[in-house]
Amino acid sequence: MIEYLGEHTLIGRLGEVFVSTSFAAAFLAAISYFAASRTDNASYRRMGRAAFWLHSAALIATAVTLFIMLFNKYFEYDYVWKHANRDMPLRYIFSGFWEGQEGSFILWSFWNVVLGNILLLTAKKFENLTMMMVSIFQMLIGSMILGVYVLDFKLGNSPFDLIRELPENVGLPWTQMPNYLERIPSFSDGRGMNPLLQNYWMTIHPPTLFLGYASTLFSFAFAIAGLASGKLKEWIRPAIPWAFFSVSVLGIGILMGGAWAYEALSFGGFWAWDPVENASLIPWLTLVGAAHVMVVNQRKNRSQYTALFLTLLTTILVMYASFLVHSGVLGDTSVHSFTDDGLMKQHLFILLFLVALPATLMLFETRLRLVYLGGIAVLILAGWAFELKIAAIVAFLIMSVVMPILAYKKFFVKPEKEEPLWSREFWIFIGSMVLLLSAAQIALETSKPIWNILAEPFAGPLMDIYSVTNIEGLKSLAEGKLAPNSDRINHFNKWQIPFAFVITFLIAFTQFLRYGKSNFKQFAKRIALSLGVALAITLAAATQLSYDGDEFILLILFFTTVFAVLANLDYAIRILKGKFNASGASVAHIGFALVLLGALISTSRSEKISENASRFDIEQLSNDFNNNEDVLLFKQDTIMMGGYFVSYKERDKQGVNVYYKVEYFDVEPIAYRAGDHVIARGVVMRAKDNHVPGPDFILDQKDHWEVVQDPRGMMLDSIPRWTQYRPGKKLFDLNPRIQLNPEFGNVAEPSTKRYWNKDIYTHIRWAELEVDTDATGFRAATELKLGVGDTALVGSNSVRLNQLSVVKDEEREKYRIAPNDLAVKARIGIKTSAGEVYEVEPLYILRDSILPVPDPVIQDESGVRVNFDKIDPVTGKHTFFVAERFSNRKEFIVMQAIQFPMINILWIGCIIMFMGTVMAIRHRIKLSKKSKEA
Amino acid sequence: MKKTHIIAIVFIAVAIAFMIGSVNDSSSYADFDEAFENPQKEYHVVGELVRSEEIAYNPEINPNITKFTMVDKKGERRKVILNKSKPQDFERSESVVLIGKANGDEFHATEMLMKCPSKYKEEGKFELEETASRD
Repeated sequence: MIEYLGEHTLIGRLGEVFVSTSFAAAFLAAISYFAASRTDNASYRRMGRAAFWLHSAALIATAVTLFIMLFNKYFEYDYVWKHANRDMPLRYIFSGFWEGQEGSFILWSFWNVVLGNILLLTAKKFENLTMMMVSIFQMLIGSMILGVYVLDFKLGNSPFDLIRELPENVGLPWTQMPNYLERIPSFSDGRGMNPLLQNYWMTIHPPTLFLGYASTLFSFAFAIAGLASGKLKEWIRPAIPWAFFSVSVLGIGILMGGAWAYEALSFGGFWAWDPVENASLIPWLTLVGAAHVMVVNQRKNRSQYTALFLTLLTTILVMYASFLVHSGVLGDTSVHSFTDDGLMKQHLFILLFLVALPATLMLFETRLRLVYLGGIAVLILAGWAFELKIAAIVAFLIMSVVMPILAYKKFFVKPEKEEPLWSREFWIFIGSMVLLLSAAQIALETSKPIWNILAEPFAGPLMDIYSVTNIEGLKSLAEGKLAPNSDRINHFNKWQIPFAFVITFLIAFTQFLRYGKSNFKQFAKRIALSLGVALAITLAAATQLSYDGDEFILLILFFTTVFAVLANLDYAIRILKGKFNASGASVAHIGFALVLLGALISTSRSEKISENASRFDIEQLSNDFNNNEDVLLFKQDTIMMGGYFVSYKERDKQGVNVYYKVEYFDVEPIAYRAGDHVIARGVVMRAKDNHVPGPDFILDQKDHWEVVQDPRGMMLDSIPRWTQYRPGKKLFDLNPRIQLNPEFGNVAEPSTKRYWNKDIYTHIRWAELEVDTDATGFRAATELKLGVGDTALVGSNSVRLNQLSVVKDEEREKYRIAPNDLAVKARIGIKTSAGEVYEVEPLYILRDSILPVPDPVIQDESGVRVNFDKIDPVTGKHTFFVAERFSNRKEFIVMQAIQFPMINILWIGCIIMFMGTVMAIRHRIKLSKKSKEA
Repeated sequence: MKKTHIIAIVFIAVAIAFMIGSVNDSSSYADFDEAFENPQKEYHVVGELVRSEEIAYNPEINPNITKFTMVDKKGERRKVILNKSKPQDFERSESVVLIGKANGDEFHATEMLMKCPSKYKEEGKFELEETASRD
């Protein structure tokens, strides 16, 4: 046994004990609660509670232990080494805690513990079954951080593993050294966090999102309890506050992700339909549907199955989101980095378990349950025995879709009469179905990598269908090569905008309908006001924001969102008479509609003001290249961009951050006076009279300008070019930055100027951070392999090998070549970015035919140095080193600037929505209590 | 016909529409050879940056063009012209996904996703420094 020096092994072993204890206690709690539900014996319930409290204590101890390890920077631990370093301030230690997968599972589990204890005290008659479900779920998640081997299978990854005990390190010589921590420099500091994540959003976004994820378990637990006890209606009332709590918190979590992307990441917007964003949005949509039909069910005994189905689906989709993000299957489709952590199988098992459990419980007939479970058992055996795993999973999924449909047909009471057309319950039901469709579209598109995997056993039939229908996608699918749509954002918008306007339209008018039957005339009268005002605003906006015919669909969405805001406002004021308690729903709906309205205006009217702002005629390579969104700005240059003049002032290095100061100026028209000189169309011009220039010089020339016939003797350098505008007063500075990080790579962070009605977002796309120059003032040389006639670019110059020839005898003296030297002359053409052409003749000299003699040639005007390094007669590609003089180039940045109008509507909407849902939850809890007292 | 039936039909119709729409509007992963056989078609090509070849980015000439060489999963090398500014730390990328079309001898990419590795995975991370002497 080796005594290692400086290791802190005790705390890690403690952590492992806490993890196993919390797992075992969750198991005990699940069993006890199960027994309690079967026997109604109070002592089992007490045991269940005690076990859950033990589980809670052990889990909190796990979290605290990991935090202490991160705080004290015990770099001998893998998790600490990966997620912390010595320079990290305290607030990032929290971020480091949940940066990794193990930590995020602990966070998730922690929220379940917090909410679980609330549930334990409030669930009353549902305590046994709901707490059993929560405990089972805690076992499932807990298994992801166990890090123990069961036979050959590793269950979970423990955050308490020592680096020297990792499988890839076991057996390496250094692990046998007692003082390895001192001896190996890597252990003196951890890797630290990815700079992208070193941001306050990383401190608040994951906990909020995971609280949202965790909370969905609780309405799920009630639904399971309802199924298990056959109380298909009673589970709904206590589950409603939980469902709206999830709507609120998960919604805010998702929006925070958007705000983070907008503020700190380089998406160039707040929502990019990235798979990771989608994964969290999908369950939110079904959850909103679930919560609404649950409310309907309380008033009219309807939509029982829909409420159950959507509630169960939501938590399954939450686990699916986790699966997508953690299993690595999204690999090539997202800008986020994913790696397979080796837990894919385990994660898949949890997901399929969450599908199978409610599907089994739904079948209220022992025979059917046995058929389903037996089917699963057969599939598992067949899948393993015949290596048909994927086919088995597909068959399982099909069975799990068929069974709930069967259950719906057989066991669920269907109301005898349909909902009346003009009733609240009918339109809320429609709304939940639209939300489900919307979620399904996002899920299908985001899951393309999964389709590829699942389609594998069906490659043959798919090819057959392809040969008949000629749908290319089927062929790709058969080959497992189906890729997401290349124009992702437009593709999603195309589908989701119609869903959004149906939903907002429903939000607008549904509140005005009563449960049961409404009087249509009265209803029409009530909504007429907001409908009319919304139409008027839309028409005004259509001209103001110049939405044209192609954007009709956007205009519809504009109308429906405005209508939704006004109608809900109207409802809260006129119908609810401003009663604070009851207006939660209206307020939340106003907030939601404002979020969509803000997103609509800011996205559809966002303007890449840096686009095509370049002063240069950009070399047009091909029609494929129409993207000119980034602009080059030399230091001290001022160019016009959108409605501004911008100037790159200077850069400033502060610690790890390099700030680039960009100044924005107002645009002012120029007034030319008689006698002013300008350069236009390549000649010097003189103004004939006082005038304000028009948009194009050619239009002004005849009336206002004359050519200066003999410009000799004029200071040509000081004559300005003709322009229509000039920079006016300075408006603001922006300081976008690049964070230098040698471990993870450098990261650019935008800087945004906020006005009440628009944001101007500026982002460095590329900048030279360090310039390598040698002692002679040249940049690092580029190695070129050129055949005769080949051209290559070096910096701003293009270089061409024109000709190659042996140095003739009569020239030898000129080049001072010794008699025994072998010499070859290259003629290199240099073309500068200004279009000037030069030629240099570097020599390749072999002294005594063996030793190459360096003979660099410098071309002064272009500032290019060429060194002829090697001749390769075999390939005909000869090696040259070409370098550029440092002073050739001025310092510059490549940046992108985008203007987002009215984005503040979106942020205000977020806050209003959050407030509204909190009000609604409060109201629901009160109602729930009242009904219990009654 | 009952309302429920109408709803069910509309619901199923929309669901089928986007199943078909989704398959129809899909792009496809491919290797270079397939992309160069069908130059008009847009593909996703997965591969790695060839670091030994030059990454040409000349913002003075065009800040929105980056040229480099990529090797696909089958080992085929192609010159790539990307219609974007050069991503920060492109040299360090582990794998890249190009979205674009073949054009002549070159691949014209309009979009690129790239993954950067963590340094941790590099070999020999936890090793003695060469200068350290053994006791």
